[in-house]
Amino acid sequence: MRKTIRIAFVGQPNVGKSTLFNAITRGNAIVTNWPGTTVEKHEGHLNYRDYELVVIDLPGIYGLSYTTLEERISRRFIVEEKPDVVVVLVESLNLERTLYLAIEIRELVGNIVVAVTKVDEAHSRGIHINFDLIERRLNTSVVPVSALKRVGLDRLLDTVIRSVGMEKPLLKIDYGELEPFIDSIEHIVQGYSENLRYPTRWLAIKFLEGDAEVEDILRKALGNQYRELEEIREEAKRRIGIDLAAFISMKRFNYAREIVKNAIIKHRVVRKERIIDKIFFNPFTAPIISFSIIVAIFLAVFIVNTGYPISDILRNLGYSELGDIFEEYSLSSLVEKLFEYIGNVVVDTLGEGPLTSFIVNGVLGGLASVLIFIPLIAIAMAILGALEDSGVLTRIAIGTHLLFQRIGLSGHSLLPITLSLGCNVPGVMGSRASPNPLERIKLVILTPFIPCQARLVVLLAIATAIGGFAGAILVPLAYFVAFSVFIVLSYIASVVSKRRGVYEEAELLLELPPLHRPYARVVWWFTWFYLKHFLVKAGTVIFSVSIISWILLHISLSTEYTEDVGGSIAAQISRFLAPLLSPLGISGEKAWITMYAIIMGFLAKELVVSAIVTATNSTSFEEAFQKLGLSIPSAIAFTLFITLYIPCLATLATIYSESKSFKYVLLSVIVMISTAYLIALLSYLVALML
Amino acid sequence: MCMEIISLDMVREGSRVIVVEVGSYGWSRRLYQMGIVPGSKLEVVFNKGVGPVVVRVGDTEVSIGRGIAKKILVKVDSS
Repeated sequence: MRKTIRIAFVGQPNVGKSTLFNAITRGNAIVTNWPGTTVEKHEGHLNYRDYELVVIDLPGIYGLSYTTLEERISRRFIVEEKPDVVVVLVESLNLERTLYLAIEIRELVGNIVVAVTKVDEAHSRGIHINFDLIERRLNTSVVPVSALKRVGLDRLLDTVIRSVGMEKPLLKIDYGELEPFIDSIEHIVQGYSENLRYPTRWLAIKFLEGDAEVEDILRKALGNQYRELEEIREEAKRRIGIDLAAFISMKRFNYAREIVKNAIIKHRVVRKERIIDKIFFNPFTAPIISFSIIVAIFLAVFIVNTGYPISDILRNLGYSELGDIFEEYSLSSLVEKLFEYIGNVVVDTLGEGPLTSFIVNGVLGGLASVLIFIPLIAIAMAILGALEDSGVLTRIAIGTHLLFQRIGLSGHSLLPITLSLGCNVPGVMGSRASPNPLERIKLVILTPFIPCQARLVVLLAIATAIGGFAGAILVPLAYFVAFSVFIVLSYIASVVSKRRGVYEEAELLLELPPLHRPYARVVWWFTWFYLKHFLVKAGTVIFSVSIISWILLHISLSTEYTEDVGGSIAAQISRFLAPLLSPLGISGEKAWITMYAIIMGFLAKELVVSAIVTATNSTSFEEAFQKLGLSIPSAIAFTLFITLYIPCLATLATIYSESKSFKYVLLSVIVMISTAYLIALLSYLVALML
Repeated sequence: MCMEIISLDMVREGSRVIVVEVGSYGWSRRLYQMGIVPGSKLEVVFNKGVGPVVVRVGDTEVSIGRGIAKKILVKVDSS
């Protein structure tokens, strides 16, 4: 039996924590959520020498205060779950600030190992660090590492293993004038120490900082005597004269500064003329450059995927053959061809029949609808990874922040919104660009309102079928309505959360990571991680629902196989639900077909077109749409409904895998259906009056 | 020697300042943790009158939203 060692990774943002975590676990991580939150918990397992190492990656935090969710999670884990060793990551390029966290943790925990990251880069910049001195000042082992060059990884793990069970006395920083106050609080608290899981000195310091959780713990433990602590704190405030939390942070920084001053020899590197940053921080060029980058990415992703809009532009310029080639060799059409080919082989070997139809349309079709997203997600996530690793993403967020602030979002929303114009699936995944959990949930739920390419296809088909003035304005109208809904709901959501007091002001306080070329390996990890995540979580849902929908479409109520859509269970359901459409002026014998198209659109938005064509036994969509016999107002209402009504199956599956909560999936469906119905009804009534 | 105390958003690009007060509100803890405490020295890297103020503190640059910058009081570092 191997002995298990539990190791927690803690570090500030941008110190290279996930890079080191990936390098050590080689990408074998289990992802869950921290209990009761949407913050991800990454846990890696590996066998090393005679041990099984369990590495828990705690969220990136700047310190151990109680103000952010990430800090609360980390603090609770370190104290309550008692990992065998806490590895604190400190960045060699930014020693002073990142040591702050190590100092704070060293005041709380006796068994830590400090990993100094990015030492290769520090070396190339002429920074030399005396690791022994840091080791002495923190009284703990210090290991220099470089995750990208795979330097020092074994030494880090060996040091961790060696230090199991070797508790060292906690770090005591001299808080100067505050010391007598710390002493007297500690003196009182010591009487209750058996009920307290935290070290008493640490509790005393945190209490002076005004830490809400520590106040709570002490109030419960001390009862009436708690009042004495408050009096001591008031006295301390009077003596020190500034905010105690600021004073305590200052002292910790002095300690860090003292270490850095003696431990580092640095040749001052002159910063280059920062043209890129000048563009990003100029209020006029910032939004322009940010939008240009994002739009360029958007075009690149979708040209590769479907050939649109290059294919159409070429056709309009008279190079229709070239346009066709573009479309033919786009990724989605290649995937489609592959499955068509396999399907034909199956038909040739098995002959026509229920089983063949099940394999071709159910199983292969389900597989295809998962696979079709792979290139899309891979490209989008690789670009997101490169933007993030290079430090450009932070600058884009800052550059567009002013615009998004007005609708209660931050500059982090630009990417998910733009990606959603192509496909909501990478759009919802792109909400990860926001570090704020509340904003992320908002984006996850609201971005599906942004019309994707599939919906554009449907809109264009209906617009052509209607023709005339209504046809001409239909597409711009639908986009205008969709964006207005997005903006209004986002605004409402921020007002509501402000009222409930959970709203974090849409301000930005971000560290600016230095710009550098993205590392291929980091980008690959990022891409692979999300691709795997999508395949496992969303892929299973999409695949199983595709199978279920085949059954509903091909089995009649008397449980017999049927080729005629009109006799299937799906058609029966549509007939049952069709009366819901009568307020929109859609009623009569053909109304079920409209409902059927709406249901099919849930599986994939572009299916609305083919559903109407097959159910009306038509050869073209124009003919099919005429057969539905919708009036212009009804057609407009139907179009707007289709644009807004529900995230498609793949998007819903992604919403689930991103939020890991059925509640949010349900919320998304309810918000979208009710909004769509309301808007459709309103537009129908308005159009009737015109 | 001029010891005028102003808010960070009023500081001109390229100036060096010393933090006088961070203010006690939601963002202060995060600012402390990033090394922006009373007494710390900042260099204002970007300040365009609208949008965020970018400061260098130690070896890092931090972009501070204007709303937050308005509440940080500083004096010009004459050393």
